[in-house]
Amino acid sequence: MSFDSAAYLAFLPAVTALHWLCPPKKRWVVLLGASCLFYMSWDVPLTALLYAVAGISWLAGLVLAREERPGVRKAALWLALAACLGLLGYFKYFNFLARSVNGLLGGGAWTPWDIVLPVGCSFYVFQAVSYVVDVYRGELAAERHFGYYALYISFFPQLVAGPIERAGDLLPQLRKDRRLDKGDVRTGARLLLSGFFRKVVVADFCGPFVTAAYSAGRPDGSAVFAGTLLFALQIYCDFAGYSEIAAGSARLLGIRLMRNFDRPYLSQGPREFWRQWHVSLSRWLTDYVYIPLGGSRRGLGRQLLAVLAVFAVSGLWHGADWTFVAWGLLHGAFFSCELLLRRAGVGPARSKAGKAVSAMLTFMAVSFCWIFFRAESLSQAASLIGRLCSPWDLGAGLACLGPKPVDAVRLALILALCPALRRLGDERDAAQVQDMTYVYFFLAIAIAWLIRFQQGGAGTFIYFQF
Amino acid sequence: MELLHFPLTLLLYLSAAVLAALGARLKRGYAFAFAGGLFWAAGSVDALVEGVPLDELLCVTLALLLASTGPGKRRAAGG
Repeated sequence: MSFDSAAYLAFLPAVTALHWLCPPKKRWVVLLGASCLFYMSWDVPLTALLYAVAGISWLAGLVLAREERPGVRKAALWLALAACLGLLGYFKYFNFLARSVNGLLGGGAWTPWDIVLPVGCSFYVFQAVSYVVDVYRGELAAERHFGYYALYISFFPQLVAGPIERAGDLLPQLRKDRRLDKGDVRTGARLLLSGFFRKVVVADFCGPFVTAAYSAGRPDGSAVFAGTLLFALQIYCDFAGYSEIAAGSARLLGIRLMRNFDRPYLSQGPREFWRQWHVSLSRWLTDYVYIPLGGSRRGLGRQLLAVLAVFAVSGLWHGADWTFVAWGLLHGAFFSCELLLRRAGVGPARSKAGKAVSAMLTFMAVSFCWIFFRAESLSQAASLIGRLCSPWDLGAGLACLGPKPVDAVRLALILALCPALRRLGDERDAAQVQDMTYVYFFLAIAIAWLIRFQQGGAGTFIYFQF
Repeated sequence: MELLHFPLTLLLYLSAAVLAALGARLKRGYAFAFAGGLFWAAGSVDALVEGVPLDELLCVTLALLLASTGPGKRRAAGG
């Protein structure tokens, strides 16, 4: 049940109504049942895996809370981490390893198995890991009620594509005696509207052009350039749209999820970009990989190594392929360059023109990295970069993408609407949005949905595959 | 663009855009904004009857959305 499916449009109001009609003490049962049903709509047998991860991490939390002997605590921590990350490793990376070994040795030395990646596996495993580590560090009290804990791991709005919530933020909200609040309903509806607009009107519009540019045999450099910029827009609107729908759905239930995106394409450097893009993953990697590796406390060399390791993990987390590792390492290299520049005394730009140039350069660097993220293989990425660097033929580029005049108008309007879209998704700016603007947002989403049905396409979110 | 072949539809949409923009600019512009919505509805019915593709209908809706946000204005009037 994808967020942009008709089934979800019936599921969410039904769950919301049932949740508020239920006595406060029993609301967790409604939410847990709904989350279980939501996940079962993707895959029934793999629902057991989801609750197995929840069970393992919950038991580990209990042992860590009761046990005071350091050796036993450490053993419980490592056992839980090995079990959770082992499951993720098996489902996500086993075939990647087999393919890599085969590529290295040549031939079929290792036959890949028929393994289906459970939806949202990377997200809920990371939530479980953060919980166990936080309890081990003493930063969080262990949750004794399995129902609430299972709900924290499987809460349906953020189950399949995040944000990766921390137990310290989400569990108290799940336990709280929530009351139906008009403001929450209004904010939730606004977030849903903004999320659906990003997904259905913007991301789904960019998709076919990106596919045309990236699947053509020998696309012109101009087509690769336009396709890459459109992919930058598509992936941002797809994922930020998903996060807003998740936040909006949770808000209707009186629960606040963290903000996962904050205008990342206006960042003035890679560091700022990663503070504003997929914030929940960046924070997770900082707290559980970068800082344990030494962070900035053990000299520049160690810090640069930690940065590269974090970005390699980030790449691998996104997908089990060398293209994702290359994408991560490229970001790591850009991040390291910024660190070295800061050490050399080159500070952030202060003038308006300087800030604009920094933002433009950052956007171009990020877009360049997207080539690796979108390409099917490293050789395709290299070929696309080669096409970018060869002389362009605009006519051939346009023929490759095949846009109609109305598409150009739609793209221009979408870009002009960016500030309005930001206001819609931002609680602080909500007062500036007129009532009729909401109506037009709704109408635009409805028409885009009709176009999708007319074309017989069923959209899916890019981040669902991770 | 097929929409350009239907003057009545165009006129209705242009009126809707002007009213939406006025609704966004004026202090108590809700009536204008609402009237703009009505003109959009009339224009859309006409467009659908004439067989204008949905892509173009979406573009017009986005243009009206843009007009209703009062682009270039720091704070939109309430409504």
